[in-house]
Amino acid sequence: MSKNECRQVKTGPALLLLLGACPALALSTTALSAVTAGAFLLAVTLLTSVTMALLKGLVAKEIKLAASVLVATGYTVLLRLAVGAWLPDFYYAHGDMVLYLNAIAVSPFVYRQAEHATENGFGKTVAESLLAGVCFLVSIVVVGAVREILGAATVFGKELTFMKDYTIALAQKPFGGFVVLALVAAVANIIRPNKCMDCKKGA
Amino acid sequence: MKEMLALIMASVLASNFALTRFLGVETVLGQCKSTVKPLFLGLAVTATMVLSSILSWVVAEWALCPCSVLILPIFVIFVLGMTALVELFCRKVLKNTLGSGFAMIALNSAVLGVSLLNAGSGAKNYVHESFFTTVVAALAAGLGYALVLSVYTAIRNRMDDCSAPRAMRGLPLSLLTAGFISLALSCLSF
Repeated sequence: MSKNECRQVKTGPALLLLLGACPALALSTTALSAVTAGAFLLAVTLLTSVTMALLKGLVAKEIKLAASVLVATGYTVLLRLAVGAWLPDFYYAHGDMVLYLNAIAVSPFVYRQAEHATENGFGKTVAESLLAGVCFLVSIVVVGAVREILGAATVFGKELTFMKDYTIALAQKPFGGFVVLALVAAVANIIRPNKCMDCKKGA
Repeated sequence: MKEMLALIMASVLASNFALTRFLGVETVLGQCKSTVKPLFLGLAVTATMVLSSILSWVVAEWALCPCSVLILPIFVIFVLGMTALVELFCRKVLKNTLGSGFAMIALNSAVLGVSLLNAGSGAKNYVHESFFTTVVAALAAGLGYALVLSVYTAIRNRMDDCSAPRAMRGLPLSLLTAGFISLALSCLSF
């Protein structure tokens, strides 16, 4: 396969879902926590890649991974404290929210954008991170809404009376997360084909 | 002893890190044929997990208790350091380079997740009091991860020969496979 095709895969939406699979599966039991997770990941990605773009010439190739993970950790701590202080409803919407927000610090999603930032210019970095983050946010909110409607017959906390008798408890379980995310990824595959999942290098 | 056995079985199978807690699931789903052998990668992850949770437990217990803000950065530094150590060991002693596996361990939320859960800053019902329990929990979590990684890669390698609808190729099929393994594991409870 040519190098050109590989480059196209690097911008495919299914790859974004793969790299952000941990928050996309764990925090999509309700639409509310999905919004929190998506927005959190968007903010961490944007801030980390902007910082890495500013540090472009200063970071050696060998320590790029360590540097970007540590920068992302710093922003994760800051944003987690901010979310906990200002939006406690979001913060406590999900039992394990703290753990998974912490885990975003080592997310391959953030690292991939940060790595691109050290190669590209400032403007391109901001545009690319925003696009990736917003794509991810939209997909995870869809997953969260579907799982909430199927599993609890509510959406963003509002009750849907006609769905009340037809809830599927499995939708809120890990299995439901995998299936709904797979369907969303399949739709993403139709919109924008993602040919070489297996030749992906690195994380 | 019975409790310890239940903890091990639960961490390896019922509440597996990759498939029911979703920590490190990216590495499992993105596992490709050409790179590192899955069992080798899984054992390297286990070693990193045990080493970093020992360090994290010691520091969290004796130095960091009052200052929870610093827990995450310090644990991340431990994970990065231990990953580098394991990679060095593989290169010098085993003469077997991890290659892109380095990024796969360092960017693996399961490794960080074990340390965080053991220090009690994650889920409420998973706090381990003693040092020994912490080590056992980390070891069991790592072995469960290695098991899932090997099983999943074996299934994926077989599925590569089958033809699937165009939209389902790649990630959707990976997710469904992982989902069914997770469904099978969730039937067990200890």
